[in-house]
Amino acid sequence: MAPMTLYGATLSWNVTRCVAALEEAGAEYEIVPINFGTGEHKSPEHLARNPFGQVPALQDGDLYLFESRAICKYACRKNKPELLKVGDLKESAMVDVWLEVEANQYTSALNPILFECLIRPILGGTTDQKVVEENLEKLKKVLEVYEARLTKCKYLAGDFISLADLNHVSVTLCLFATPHASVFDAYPHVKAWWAGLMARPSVQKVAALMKPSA
Amino acid sequence: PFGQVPALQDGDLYLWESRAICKYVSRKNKPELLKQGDLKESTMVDVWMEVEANQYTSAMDPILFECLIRPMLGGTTDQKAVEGNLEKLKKVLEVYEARLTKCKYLAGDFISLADLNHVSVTLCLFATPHASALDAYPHVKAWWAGLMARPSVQKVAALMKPSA
Repeated sequence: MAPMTLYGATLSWNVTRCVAALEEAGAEYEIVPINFGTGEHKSPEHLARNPFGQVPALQDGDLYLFESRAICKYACRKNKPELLKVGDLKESAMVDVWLEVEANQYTSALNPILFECLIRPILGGTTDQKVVEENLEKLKKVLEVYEARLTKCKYLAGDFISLADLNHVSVTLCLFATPHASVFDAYPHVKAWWAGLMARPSVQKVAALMKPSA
Repeated sequence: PFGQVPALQDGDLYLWESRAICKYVSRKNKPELLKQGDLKESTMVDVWMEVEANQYTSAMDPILFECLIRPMLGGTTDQKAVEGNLEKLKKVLEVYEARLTKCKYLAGDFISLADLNHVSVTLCLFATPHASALDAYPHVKAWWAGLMARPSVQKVAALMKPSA
């Protein structure tokens, strides 16, 4: 069976979100970077994979997917459906809830912080500290909810690891590449949960790929 | 725990986040809306559910907020934000137009939760002065007309009544 192809640069935390899932699911895949500098993301070849001209995109045989969280689900459905608790109505519902929470609460607060700290300098701009501070405050409110949850459960969706946990890996690794990693310090159960994730070979693989330097 | 709405209770199960609730409803009562069990089709449903959230609704939200919510809060609609997001929305609608030229519905030739998740925000668009944003996209308009004909969608429309 030919490996799947994940298109996109590992600088993108949307691309590396997929790497965490692909690794944990034990999928065979290769990464092909897309060069935004040369406008490759707007080329007809790439638009055929992702009509929005974004990364990541995934090719598996004649199937083309895009949107990182859909790609992550595909990797799980195909190779390790227990990461989605497929077949268990209640448990899969909890996975779905915390998958949404990652997107709508956690990453929505993290994205501006990561952009200002990690991407803005690459583009030759200055970090907007006001945006960083505001979003750190939002993130803290989110982490309070996570702390309460992870005090009750070992992982986010319950006492089992799921894609909901894994979808946090890429953006959290990026947080640790900014000056603001200490935001976790006030939340011991969140820190323990993160330490547990970091110990997994799949997550170590993503960390090695991402190397904080630009 | 985020103090937001919606939340759903089903017996002793509590859920929140609207899209998780929508999936739960589908899984429990009509899993064909998610094409469960078919790897390729369920994946296309997943893709277009993400597109609804990340592309369509992310452009719509600020438009709906400025046009429908801001006045309720006693503020003035920020036209610049509206215009900027209408431009974003048009780029998204171009992709939808191409897709719906090839397929009857977003995930394929079958209706799915991906289509239904567009209903509430699109009904709201029609309550703003900017419903004409869809006019340049005939296949999108036809897709919307098809959705509007469904009893389920009519029920939502009746519930939402455009006036504050």
